[in-house]
Amino acid sequence: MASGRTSSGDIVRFDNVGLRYGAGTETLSDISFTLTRGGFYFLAGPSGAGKTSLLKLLYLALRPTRGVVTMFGEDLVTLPRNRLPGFRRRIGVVFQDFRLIPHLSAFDNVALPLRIAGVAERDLAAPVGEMLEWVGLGERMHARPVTLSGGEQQRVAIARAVVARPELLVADEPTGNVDPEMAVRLLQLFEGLNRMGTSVVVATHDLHLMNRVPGAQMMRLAKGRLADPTGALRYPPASRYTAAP
Amino acid sequence: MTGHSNLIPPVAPLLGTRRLSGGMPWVIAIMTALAMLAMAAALVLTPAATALSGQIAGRATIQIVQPDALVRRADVAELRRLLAEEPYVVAVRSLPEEETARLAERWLGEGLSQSDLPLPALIDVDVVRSDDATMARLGAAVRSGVPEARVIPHAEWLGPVARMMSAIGWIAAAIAAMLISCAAVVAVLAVRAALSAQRPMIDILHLVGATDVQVARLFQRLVARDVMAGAILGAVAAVCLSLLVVWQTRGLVAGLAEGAGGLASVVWILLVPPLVIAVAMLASRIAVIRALGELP
Repeated sequence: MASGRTSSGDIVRFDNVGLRYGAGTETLSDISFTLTRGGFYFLAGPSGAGKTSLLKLLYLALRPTRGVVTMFGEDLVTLPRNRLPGFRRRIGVVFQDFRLIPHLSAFDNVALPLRIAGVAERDLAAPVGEMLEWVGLGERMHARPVTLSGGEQQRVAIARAVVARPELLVADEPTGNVDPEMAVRLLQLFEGLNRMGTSVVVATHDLHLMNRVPGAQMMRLAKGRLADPTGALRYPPASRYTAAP
Repeated sequence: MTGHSNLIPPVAPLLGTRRLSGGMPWVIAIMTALAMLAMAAALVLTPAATALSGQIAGRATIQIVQPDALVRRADVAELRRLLAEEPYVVAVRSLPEEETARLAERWLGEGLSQSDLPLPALIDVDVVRSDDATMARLGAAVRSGVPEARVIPHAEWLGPVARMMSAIGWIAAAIAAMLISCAAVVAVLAVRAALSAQRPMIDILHLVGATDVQVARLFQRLVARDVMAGAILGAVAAVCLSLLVVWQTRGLVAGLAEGAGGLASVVWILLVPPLVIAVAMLASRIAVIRALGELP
Protein backbone atom coordinates (compact mmCIF):
# COMPACT_ATOMS: atom_id res chain seq x y z
CA MET A 1 0.00 0.00 0.00
CA ALA A 2 1.52 3.27 -1.05
CA SER A 3 0.66 6.52 -2.66
CA GLY A 4 1.91 7.14 -6.15
CA ARG A 5 0.92 6.76 -9.75
CA THR A 6 -2.14 4.65 -10.57
CA SER A 7 -1.11 1.42 -12.20
CA SER A 8 -3.23 -1.13 -14.05
CA GLY A 9 -3.17 -3.29 -10.91
CA ASP A 10 -4.74 -0.57 -8.77
CA ILE A 11 -8.42 -0.79 -8.08
CA VAL A 12 -8.86 2.18 -5.73
CA ARG A 13 -6.77 5.24 -5.14
CA PHE A 14 -7.35 8.05 -2.61
CA ASP A 15 -5.34 11.26 -2.93
CA ASN A 16 -5.51 13.74 -0.03
CA VAL A 17 -9.12 12.91 0.57
CA GLY A 18 -11.08 14.78 3.20
CA LEU A 19 -14.61 14.24 4.43
CA ARG A 20 -16.72 16.64 6.40
CA TYR A 21 -20.31 16.18 7.60
CA GLY A 22 -22.14 19.48 7.33
CA ALA A 23 -20.20 22.43 8.68
CA GLY A 24 -18.31 20.49 11.35
CA THR A 25 -14.66 19.57 11.48
CA GLU A 26 -13.26 17.03 9.06
CA THR A 27 -14.05 13.44 9.95
CA LEU A 28 -11.36 12.24 7.56
CA SER A 29 -8.31 14.30 6.63
CA ASP A 30 -5.57 13.87 4.07
CA ILE A 31 -6.30 10.23 3.36
CA SER A 32 -4.05 8.83 0.65
CA PHE A 33 -3.68 5.16 -0.22
CA THR A 34 -3.94 2.71 -3.06
CA LEU A 35 -5.66 -0.67 -3.08
CA THR A 36 -4.31 -3.18 -5.55
CA ARG A 37 -6.41 -5.71 -7.41
CA GLY A 38 -6.55 -8.97 -5.45
CA GLY A 39 -5.31 -7.42 -2.22
CA PHE A 40 -6.65 -8.20 1.26
CA TYR A 41 -6.79 -5.24 3.60
CA PHE A 42 -7.80 -4.73 7.18
CA LEU A 43 -8.91 -1.32 8.34
CA ALA A 44 -8.22 -0.89 12.02
CA GLY A 45 -8.57 1.89 14.52
CA PRO A 46 -10.42 2.87 17.67
CA SER A 47 -14.10 3.74 17.71
CA GLY A 48 -14.67 7.18 16.23
CA ALA A 49 -11.46 7.05 14.20
CA GLY A 50 -13.43 7.28 10.95
CA LYS A 51 -13.40 3.66 9.78
CA THR A 52 -17.08 3.59 8.81
CA SER A 53 -16.77 6.95 7.04
CA LEU A 54 -13.82 5.66 5.05
CA LEU A 55 -15.74 2.51 4.15
CA LYS A 56 -18.72 4.65 3.06
CA LEU A 57 -16.40 6.44 0.66
CA LEU A 58 -15.21 3.06 -0.58
CA TYR A 59 -18.67 1.66 -1.21
CA LEU A 60 -19.88 4.98 -2.67
CA ALA A 61 -22.45 5.83 -0.02
CA LEU A 62 -20.66 9.18 0.37
CA ARG A 63 -18.50 11.40 -1.78
CA PRO A 64 -15.46 13.19 -0.36
CA THR A 65 -15.59 16.91 0.33
CA ARG A 66 -12.05 17.30 -1.01
CA GLY A 67 -9.34 15.29 -2.65
CA VAL A 68 -9.49 12.77 -5.46
CA VAL A 69 -10.94 9.26 -5.39
CA THR A 70 -10.13 7.09 -8.37
CA MET A 71 -11.92 3.76 -8.61
CA PHE A 72 -11.75 1.25 -11.45
CA GLY A 73 -9.79 3.87 -13.36
CA GLU A 74 -12.35 6.69 -13.10
CA ASP A 75 -12.45 9.83 -11.00
CA LEU A 76 -15.46 9.37 -8.76
CA VAL A 77 -15.53 12.91 -7.41
CA THR A 78 -16.64 14.34 -10.73
CA LEU A 79 -18.57 11.28 -11.90
CA PRO A 80 -22.25 12.09 -12.63
CA ARG A 81 -24.60 10.67 -10.03
CA ASN A 82 -26.48 8.58 -12.57
CA ARG A 83 -23.31 6.58 -13.27
CA LEU A 84 -22.78 5.57 -9.63
CA PRO A 85 -25.09 2.49 -9.77
CA GLY A 86 -22.84 0.93 -12.40
CA PHE A 87 -19.87 1.32 -10.06
CA ARG A 88 -21.79 0.12 -7.03
CA ARG A 89 -22.57 -3.11 -8.88
CA ARG A 90 -18.84 -3.78 -8.95
CA ILE A 91 -18.62 -3.46 -5.17
CA GLY A 92 -19.99 -5.87 -2.55
CA VAL A 93 -20.78 -4.60 0.95
CA VAL A 94 -21.20 -6.52 4.21
CA PHE A 95 -22.40 -4.81 7.39
CA GLN A 96 -22.14 -5.71 11.05
CA ASP A 97 -25.94 -5.56 11.30
CA PHE A 98 -26.40 -7.61 8.08
CA ARG A 99 -29.01 -5.24 6.56
CA LEU A 100 -31.01 -8.04 5.03
CA ILE A 101 -34.53 -7.34 3.81
CA PRO A 102 -36.63 -8.96 6.53
CA HIS A 103 -39.66 -9.96 4.45
CA LEU A 104 -37.61 -11.60 1.72
CA SER A 105 -36.29 -15.16 1.86
CA ALA A 106 -32.56 -15.87 1.94
CA PHE A 107 -32.80 -16.71 -1.77
CA ASP A 108 -34.50 -13.42 -2.66
CA ASN A 109 -32.06 -11.43 -0.53
CA VAL A 110 -29.11 -13.00 -2.31
CA ALA A 111 -30.78 -12.65 -5.70
CA LEU A 112 -31.41 -8.91 -5.22
CA PRO A 113 -28.21 -7.59 -6.85
CA LEU A 114 -28.72 -9.89 -9.83
CA ARG A 115 -32.34 -8.83 -10.28
CA ILE A 116 -31.34 -5.18 -10.10
CA ALA A 117 -28.65 -5.85 -12.70
CA GLY A 118 -31.32 -7.29 -14.98
CA VAL A 119 -30.60 -11.01 -14.77
CA ALA A 120 -33.57 -13.02 -16.01
CA GLU A 121 -35.56 -14.98 -13.41
CA ARG A 122 -34.72 -18.30 -15.07
CA ASP A 123 -31.01 -17.55 -14.70
CA LEU A 124 -31.12 -16.76 -10.99
CA ALA A 125 -31.40 -20.22 -9.45
CA ALA A 126 -27.92 -21.44 -10.40
CA PRO A 127 -25.76 -18.54 -9.15
CA VAL A 128 -27.89 -17.85 -6.08
CA GLY A 129 -28.06 -21.55 -5.15
CA GLU A 130 -24.33 -21.88 -5.68
CA MET A 131 -23.64 -18.88 -3.48
CA LEU A 132 -25.90 -20.15 -0.70
CA GLU A 133 -24.20 -23.55 -0.90
CA TRP A 134 -20.86 -21.78 -0.68
CA VAL A 135 -21.81 -20.09 2.57
CA GLY A 136 -23.32 -23.36 3.86
CA LEU A 137 -26.98 -22.34 3.66
CA GLY A 138 -28.15 -24.32 0.65
CA GLU A 139 -30.79 -26.01 2.78
CA ARG A 140 -32.15 -22.75 4.14
CA MET A 141 -32.66 -20.73 0.99
CA HIS A 142 -36.36 -20.26 1.64
CA ALA A 143 -35.92 -19.15 5.26
CA ARG A 144 -36.58 -15.57 6.19
CA PRO A 145 -33.84 -13.66 8.03
CA VAL A 146 -35.78 -13.62 11.32
CA THR A 147 -35.62 -17.42 11.46
CA LEU A 148 -31.84 -17.48 10.93
CA SER A 149 -29.13 -17.14 13.57
CA GLY A 150 -26.78 -14.14 13.56
CA GLY A 151 -24.04 -16.14 11.86
CA GLU A 152 -26.45 -17.47 9.25
CA GLN A 153 -27.76 -13.98 8.54
CA GLN A 154 -24.21 -12.71 8.10
CA ARG A 155 -23.50 -15.53 5.67
CA VAL A 156 -26.59 -14.60 3.67
CA ALA A 157 -25.35 -11.01 3.67
CA ILE A 158 -21.94 -12.18 2.41
CA ALA A 159 -23.61 -14.28 -0.30
CA ARG A 160 -25.61 -11.21 -1.37
CA ALA A 161 -22.45 -9.11 -1.42
CA VAL A 162 -20.52 -11.50 -3.64
CA VAL A 163 -23.20 -13.08 -5.84
CA ALA A 164 -22.57 -10.58 -8.63
CA ARG A 165 -18.83 -11.35 -8.46
CA PRO A 166 -17.72 -7.88 -7.31
CA GLU A 167 -14.21 -6.65 -7.92
CA LEU A 168 -14.11 -5.08 -4.47
CA LEU A 169 -15.65 -6.39 -1.25
CA VAL A 170 -16.03 -3.98 1.67
CA ALA A 171 -16.99 -5.33 5.08
CA ASP A 172 -17.76 -3.15 8.09
CA GLU A 173 -17.16 -5.11 11.31
CA PRO A 174 -18.61 -8.25 9.71
CA THR A 175 -17.78 -10.42 12.73
CA GLY A 176 -19.04 -8.01 15.35
CA ASN A 177 -22.33 -9.85 15.92
CA VAL A 178 -21.19 -13.46 15.65
CA ASP A 179 -19.34 -15.84 17.96
CA PRO A 180 -15.55 -16.37 17.50
CA GLU A 181 -15.97 -19.68 15.73
CA MET A 182 -18.36 -18.17 13.22
CA ALA A 183 -16.05 -15.16 12.83
CA VAL A 184 -13.28 -17.49 11.68
CA ARG A 185 -15.65 -19.19 9.23
CA LEU A 186 -16.70 -15.84 7.80
CA LEU A 187 -13.09 -14.80 7.43
CA GLN A 188 -12.41 -18.02 5.55
CA LEU A 189 -15.21 -17.05 3.14
CA PHE A 190 -13.56 -13.67 2.56
CA GLU A 191 -10.24 -15.39 1.95
CA GLY A 192 -11.84 -17.77 -0.52
CA LEU A 193 -13.33 -14.87 -2.39
CA ASN A 194 -10.00 -13.04 -2.31
CA ARG A 195 -8.30 -16.08 -3.84
CA MET A 196 -10.71 -15.76 -6.77
CA GLY A 197 -9.37 -12.26 -7.41
CA THR A 198 -11.68 -9.96 -5.44
CA SER A 199 -10.02 -7.20 -3.46
CA VAL A 200 -11.23 -7.31 0.15
CA VAL A 201 -11.33 -4.54 2.74
CA VAL A 202 -12.45 -5.53 6.23
CA ALA A 203 -12.87 -3.03 9.06
CA THR A 204 -12.41 -4.72 12.40
CA HIS A 205 -11.20 -4.25 15.96
CA ASP A 206 -10.22 -7.89 16.22
CA LEU A 207 -6.42 -8.23 16.15
CA HIS A 208 -6.74 -11.99 16.54
CA LEU A 209 -8.74 -12.07 13.32
CA MET A 210 -6.18 -9.95 11.47
CA ASN A 211 -3.44 -12.35 12.39
CA ARG A 212 -5.32 -15.23 10.82
CA VAL A 213 -4.89 -13.84 7.31
CA PRO A 214 -1.31 -14.20 6.19
CA GLY A 215 -0.20 -11.47 3.87
CA ALA A 216 -3.09 -9.14 4.58
CA GLN A 217 -2.23 -5.48 4.81
CA MET A 218 -3.50 -3.13 7.46
CA MET A 219 -4.57 0.46 7.36
CA ARG A 220 -4.76 2.04 10.78
CA LEU A 221 -6.96 5.07 11.27
CA ALA A 222 -6.61 7.44 14.20
CA LYS A 223 -8.58 10.64 14.58
CA GLY A 224 -9.55 10.64 10.92
CA ARG A 225 -6.06 10.19 9.55
CA LEU A 226 -4.16 7.17 8.35
CA ALA A 227 -1.68 6.62 11.16
CA ASP A 228 0.84 4.57 9.26
CA PRO A 229 -0.06 4.52 5.60
CA THR A 230 3.02 2.61 4.57
CA GLY A 231 4.45 1.14 7.75
CA ALA A 232 1.66 -1.38 8.16
CA LEU A 233 2.52 -3.16 4.95
CA ARG A 234 3.60 -6.51 6.19
CA TYR A 235 3.38 -8.61 3.07
CA PRO A 236 2.72 -7.48 -0.46
CA PRO A 237 -0.44 -9.25 -1.74
CA ALA A 238 1.39 -10.86 -4.64
CA SER A 239 3.64 -12.76 -2.27
CA ARG A 240 0.96 -13.92 0.13
CA TYR A 241 0.90 -17.47 -1.05
CA THR A 242 4.52 -17.78 -2.03
CA ALA A 243 6.48 -16.30 0.82
CA ALA A 244 6.50 -17.61 4.34
CA PRO A 245 5.46 -15.09 6.97
CA MET B 1 -25.28 -11.09 -16.00
CA THR B 2 -27.14 -9.04 -18.53
CA GLY B 3 -27.19 -5.29 -18.87
CA HIS B 4 -29.04 -2.55 -17.14
CA SER B 5 -32.67 -3.06 -16.18
CA ASN B 6 -35.16 -0.39 -15.19
CA LEU B 7 -37.54 -2.76 -13.49
CA ILE B 8 -36.93 -5.05 -10.55
CA PRO B 9 -39.18 -8.09 -11.10
CA PRO B 10 -41.98 -8.15 -8.56
CA VAL B 11 -41.12 -11.64 -7.31
CA ALA B 12 -41.55 -10.40 -3.79
CA PRO B 13 -42.80 -6.99 -2.70
CA LEU B 14 -39.53 -5.30 -1.87
CA LEU B 15 -41.14 -2.51 0.09
CA GLY B 16 -43.31 -4.93 2.03
CA THR B 17 -47.00 -5.58 1.73
CA ARG B 18 -48.11 -2.66 3.84
CA ARG B 19 -50.03 0.15 2.28
CA LEU B 20 -48.32 3.46 1.61
CA SER B 21 -50.48 5.23 4.12
CA GLY B 22 -53.53 3.95 5.92
CA GLY B 23 -55.71 6.98 5.22
CA MET B 24 -54.60 7.77 1.70
CA PRO B 25 -57.11 5.62 -0.24
CA TRP B 26 -59.96 7.18 1.75
CA VAL B 27 -58.75 10.73 1.14
CA ILE B 28 -58.31 9.97 -2.57
CA ALA B 29 -61.80 8.41 -2.62
CA ILE B 30 -63.39 11.52 -1.11
CA MET B 31 -61.51 13.83 -3.46
CA THR B 32 -62.37 11.73 -6.50
CA ALA B 33 -66.05 11.66 -5.56
CA LEU B 34 -66.17 15.41 -4.98
CA ALA B 35 -64.23 16.09 -8.19
CA MET B 36 -66.67 13.94 -10.19
CA LEU B 37 -69.68 15.70 -8.65
CA ALA B 38 -68.13 19.10 -9.29
CA MET B 39 -67.34 18.09 -12.87
CA ALA B 40 -70.93 16.91 -13.32
CA ALA B 41 -72.23 20.24 -12.01
CA ALA B 42 -69.90 22.11 -14.36
CA LEU B 43 -70.94 20.03 -17.35
CA VAL B 44 -74.65 20.52 -16.64
CA LEU B 45 -74.68 24.17 -15.58
CA THR B 46 -72.36 25.71 -18.17
CA PRO B 47 -74.20 24.40 -21.27
CA ALA B 48 -77.53 25.09 -19.57
CA ALA B 49 -76.48 28.69 -19.02
CA THR B 50 -75.36 28.94 -22.64
CA ALA B 51 -78.66 27.48 -23.83
CA LEU B 52 -80.59 29.87 -21.61
CA SER B 53 -78.60 32.82 -22.93
CA GLY B 54 -79.39 31.70 -26.48
CA GLN B 55 -83.05 31.43 -25.68
CA ILE B 56 -83.36 34.87 -24.13
CA ALA B 57 -81.18 36.66 -26.64
CA GLY B 58 -83.25 38.72 -29.10
CA ARG B 59 -86.49 38.16 -27.29
CA ALA B 60 -88.70 40.67 -25.47
CA THR B 61 -92.14 40.76 -23.97
CA ILE B 62 -94.44 43.72 -24.49
CA GLN B 63 -96.74 44.37 -21.58
CA ILE B 64 -99.95 46.39 -22.06
CA VAL B 65 -101.55 47.43 -18.79
CA GLN B 66 -105.03 48.61 -19.71
CA PRO B 67 -108.07 47.98 -17.44
CA ASP B 68 -110.51 48.21 -20.30
CA ALA B 69 -110.50 44.85 -22.05
CA LEU B 70 -111.78 46.24 -25.35
CA VAL B 71 -109.11 48.95 -25.49
CA ARG B 72 -106.48 46.41 -24.44
CA ARG B 73 -107.47 44.04 -27.25
CA ALA B 74 -107.39 46.94 -29.72
CA ASP B 75 -103.92 47.90 -28.48
CA VAL B 76 -102.73 44.32 -29.00
CA ALA B 77 -104.08 44.29 -32.55
CA GLU B 78 -102.51 47.67 -33.25
CA LEU B 79 -99.13 46.57 -31.98
CA ARG B 80 -99.26 43.29 -33.93
CA ARG B 81 -99.98 45.21 -37.09
CA LEU B 82 -97.31 47.78 -36.38
CA LEU B 83 -94.62 45.24 -35.50
CA ALA B 84 -95.36 43.13 -38.57
CA GLU B 85 -94.08 46.05 -40.63
CA GLU B 86 -90.80 46.37 -38.75
CA PRO B 87 -87.95 44.68 -40.70
CA TYR B 88 -85.96 43.59 -37.64
CA VAL B 89 -88.91 41.75 -36.06
CA VAL B 90 -88.77 38.01 -36.72
CA ALA B 91 -91.87 36.82 -34.90
CA VAL B 92 -94.75 38.24 -32.89
CA ARG B 93 -96.90 36.11 -30.62
CA SER B 94 -99.57 37.51 -28.32
CA LEU B 95 -100.38 35.45 -25.27
CA PRO B 96 -104.07 34.45 -25.22
CA GLU B 97 -105.99 35.91 -22.29
CA GLU B 98 -106.82 32.39 -21.01
CA GLU B 99 -103.14 31.56 -20.85
CA THR B 100 -102.38 34.80 -19.01
CA ALA B 101 -105.12 33.93 -16.55
CA ARG B 102 -103.65 30.45 -16.03
CA LEU B 103 -100.25 32.02 -15.34
CA ALA B 104 -101.84 34.36 -12.79
CA GLU B 105 -103.67 31.48 -11.08
CA ARG B 106 -100.40 30.22 -9.68
CA TRP B 107 -100.05 33.40 -7.67
CA LEU B 108 -103.60 34.69 -7.25
CA GLY B 109 -105.63 31.48 -7.07
CA GLU B 110 -108.50 30.13 -9.20
CA GLY B 111 -111.76 31.86 -10.07
CA LEU B 112 -110.19 35.11 -11.05
CA SER B 113 -112.23 37.21 -13.52
CA GLN B 114 -111.05 40.07 -15.73
CA SER B 115 -113.52 42.37 -14.03
CA ASP B 116 -112.08 41.63 -10.55
CA LEU B 117 -108.49 42.19 -11.58
CA PRO B 118 -107.65 43.20 -15.15
CA LEU B 119 -104.59 41.29 -16.30
CA PRO B 120 -102.07 42.88 -18.68
CA ALA B 121 -101.87 41.71 -22.26
CA LEU B 122 -98.54 40.09 -23.14
CA ILE B 123 -96.92 39.96 -26.58
CA ASP B 124 -93.69 37.98 -27.18
CA VAL B 125 -91.47 39.47 -29.86
CA ASP B 126 -88.37 37.92 -31.46
CA VAL B 127 -85.94 40.32 -33.11
CA VAL B 128 -82.99 39.56 -35.37
CA ARG B 129 -80.35 40.93 -32.98
CA SER B 130 -80.34 41.37 -29.25
CA ASP B 131 -78.23 44.52 -29.18
CA ASP B 132 -79.29 47.70 -27.43
CA ALA B 133 -79.95 49.58 -30.69
CA THR B 134 -82.49 47.00 -31.90
CA MET B 135 -84.21 46.97 -28.53
CA ALA B 136 -84.33 50.78 -28.61
CA ARG B 137 -85.90 50.71 -32.08
CA LEU B 138 -88.44 48.18 -30.85
CA GLY B 139 -89.26 50.37 -27.84
CA ALA B 140 -89.72 53.43 -30.05
CA ALA B 141 -91.99 51.56 -32.45
CA VAL B 142 -94.12 50.20 -29.58
CA ARG B 143 -94.45 53.58 -27.91
CA SER B 144 -95.44 55.21 -31.21
CA GLY B 145 -98.45 52.88 -31.42
CA VAL B 146 -99.36 52.35 -27.74
CA PRO B 147 -97.55 54.87 -25.49
CA GLU B 148 -98.46 53.09 -22.23
CA ALA B 149 -97.06 49.72 -23.40
CA ARG B 150 -93.83 48.56 -21.78
CA VAL B 151 -91.06 46.60 -23.54
CA ILE B 152 -89.21 44.08 -21.27
CA PRO B 153 -86.16 42.46 -22.89
CA HIS B 154 -85.82 38.88 -21.57
CA ALA B 155 -82.11 39.42 -21.09
CA GLU B 156 -82.97 42.06 -18.50
CA TRP B 157 -84.39 39.60 -15.98
CA LEU B 158 -83.11 36.18 -17.13
CA GLY B 159 -79.60 37.40 -18.03
CA PRO B 160 -78.33 37.52 -14.43
CA VAL B 161 -79.68 34.00 -13.85
CA ALA B 162 -77.86 32.71 -16.92
CA ARG B 163 -74.67 34.48 -15.89
CA MET B 164 -74.93 33.10 -12.37
CA MET B 165 -75.46 29.57 -13.73
CA SER B 166 -72.46 30.00 -15.98
CA ALA B 167 -70.32 31.32 -13.12
CA ILE B 168 -71.35 28.45 -10.86
CA GLY B 169 -70.49 26.03 -13.65
CA TRP B 170 -67.02 27.49 -14.07
CA ILE B 171 -66.50 27.55 -10.30
CA ALA B 172 -67.48 23.87 -10.19
CA ALA B 173 -64.97 23.12 -12.95
CA ALA B 174 -62.27 24.98 -11.01
CA ILE B 175 -63.18 23.04 -7.85
CA ALA B 176 -62.87 19.78 -9.80
CA ALA B 177 -59.43 20.82 -11.05
CA MET B 178 -58.35 21.84 -7.55
CA LEU B 179 -59.56 18.55 -6.07
CA ILE B 180 -57.60 16.61 -8.68
CA SER B 181 -54.54 18.70 -7.81
CA CYS B 182 -55.14 18.04 -4.11
CA ALA B 183 -55.15 14.31 -4.83
CA ALA B 184 -51.70 14.75 -6.34
CA VAL B 185 -50.54 16.68 -3.27
CA VAL B 186 -51.87 13.93 -0.98
CA ALA B 187 -50.01 11.32 -3.03
CA VAL B 188 -46.80 13.36 -2.82
CA LEU B 189 -47.11 13.76 0.96
CA ALA B 190 -47.76 10.05 1.39
CA VAL B 191 -44.86 9.07 -0.81
CA ARG B 192 -42.54 11.45 1.05
CA ALA B 193 -43.54 9.83 4.34
CA ALA B 194 -42.97 6.41 2.79
CA LEU B 195 -39.55 7.50 1.50
CA SER B 196 -38.60 8.56 4.99
CA ALA B 197 -39.88 5.33 6.53
CA GLN B 198 -38.20 3.19 3.87
CA ARG B 199 -34.85 4.98 3.93
CA PRO B 200 -32.92 1.91 5.15
CA MET B 201 -34.43 -0.11 2.30
CA ILE B 202 -33.50 2.59 -0.21
CA ASP B 203 -29.92 2.55 1.09
CA ILE B 204 -29.73 -1.22 0.59
CA LEU B 205 -31.13 -0.95 -2.92
CA HIS B 206 -28.68 1.79 -3.82
CA LEU B 207 -25.77 -0.17 -2.35
CA VAL B 208 -26.52 -3.17 -4.54
CA GLY B 209 -26.62 -0.93 -7.60
CA ALA B 210 -30.27 0.09 -8.01
CA THR B 211 -30.84 3.22 -10.05
CA ASP B 212 -33.15 6.00 -8.91
CA VAL B 213 -35.61 5.00 -11.63
CA GLN B 214 -35.75 1.44 -10.29
CA VAL B 215 -36.33 2.63 -6.73
CA ALA B 216 -38.91 5.17 -7.90
CA ARG B 217 -40.87 2.44 -9.67
CA LEU B 218 -41.12 0.46 -6.45
CA PHE B 219 -42.73 3.44 -4.76
CA GLN B 220 -44.93 4.08 -7.76
CA ARG B 221 -46.37 0.60 -7.41
CA LEU B 222 -47.38 1.43 -3.85
CA VAL B 223 -48.85 4.77 -4.91
CA ALA B 224 -50.69 3.18 -7.82
CA ARG B 225 -52.25 0.55 -5.59
CA ASP B 226 -53.52 3.04 -3.02
CA VAL B 227 -54.58 5.71 -5.51
CA MET B 228 -56.42 3.25 -7.72
CA ALA B 229 -58.26 1.79 -4.75
CA GLY B 230 -59.27 5.28 -3.64
CA ALA B 231 -60.23 6.48 -7.12
CA ILE B 232 -62.44 3.44 -7.79
CA LEU B 233 -64.11 3.77 -4.40
CA GLY B 234 -64.69 7.48 -4.97
CA ALA B 235 -66.08 6.88 -8.47
CA VAL B 236 -68.59 4.34 -7.18
CA ALA B 237 -69.64 6.73 -4.41
CA ALA B 238 -70.01 9.63 -6.86
CA VAL B 239 -72.10 7.58 -9.30
CA CYS B 240 -74.38 6.35 -6.49
CA LEU B 241 -74.77 9.87 -5.12
CA SER B 242 -75.46 11.29 -8.59
CA LEU B 243 -78.14 8.68 -9.28
CA LEU B 244 -79.75 9.47 -5.94
CA VAL B 245 -79.77 13.22 -6.69
CA VAL B 246 -81.12 12.66 -10.20
CA TRP B 247 -83.88 10.45 -8.83
CA GLN B 248 -84.77 12.96 -6.11
CA THR B 249 -84.85 15.99 -8.45
CA ARG B 250 -85.59 14.32 -11.76
CA GLY B 251 -87.73 17.14 -13.15
CA LEU B 252 -85.18 19.87 -12.59
CA VAL B 253 -82.19 17.75 -13.59
CA ALA B 254 -83.93 16.59 -16.76
CA GLY B 255 -84.53 20.22 -17.73
CA LEU B 256 -80.92 21.19 -17.05
CA ALA B 257 -79.52 18.07 -18.69
CA GLU B 258 -81.23 18.94 -21.97
CA GLY B 259 -78.54 21.51 -22.61
CA ALA B 260 -75.68 19.27 -21.44
CA GLY B 261 -73.50 17.27 -23.78
CA GLY B 262 -75.13 13.88 -23.18
CA LEU B 263 -72.68 11.02 -23.67
CA ALA B 264 -69.72 13.38 -24.00
CA SER B 265 -70.46 14.77 -20.53
CA VAL B 266 -70.67 11.27 -19.07
CA VAL B 267 -67.32 10.43 -20.64
CA TRP B 268 -65.77 13.59 -19.17
CA ILE B 269 -67.09 12.71 -15.72
CA LEU B 270 -65.82 9.14 -15.99
CA LEU B 271 -62.41 10.49 -17.02
CA VAL B 272 -61.98 12.06 -13.58
CA PRO B 273 -60.81 8.87 -11.76
CA PRO B 274 -58.17 7.99 -14.40
CA LEU B 275 -57.09 11.64 -14.33
CA VAL B 276 -56.74 11.51 -10.53
CA ILE B 277 -54.64 8.34 -10.84
CA ALA B 278 -52.46 9.77 -13.61
CA VAL B 279 -51.86 13.11 -11.91
CA ALA B 280 -51.16 11.51 -8.51
CA MET B 281 -48.72 9.01 -10.02
CA LEU B 282 -46.92 11.62 -12.07
CA ALA B 283 -46.58 13.95 -9.09
CA SER B 284 -45.39 11.15 -6.80
CA ARG B 285 -42.87 9.99 -9.41
CA ILE B 286 -41.41 13.48 -9.68
CA ALA B 287 -41.32 13.74 -5.86
CA VAL B 288 -39.52 10.39 -5.52
CA ILE B 289 -36.98 11.11 -8.23
CA ARG B 290 -36.26 14.54 -6.71
CA ALA B 291 -35.91 13.11 -3.20
CA LEU B 292 -33.63 10.32 -4.41
CA GLY B 293 -31.57 12.86 -6.32
CA GLU B 294 -30.77 14.59 -3.03
CA LEU B 295 -29.16 11.42 -1.65
CA PRO B 296 -25.39 10.94 -2.00
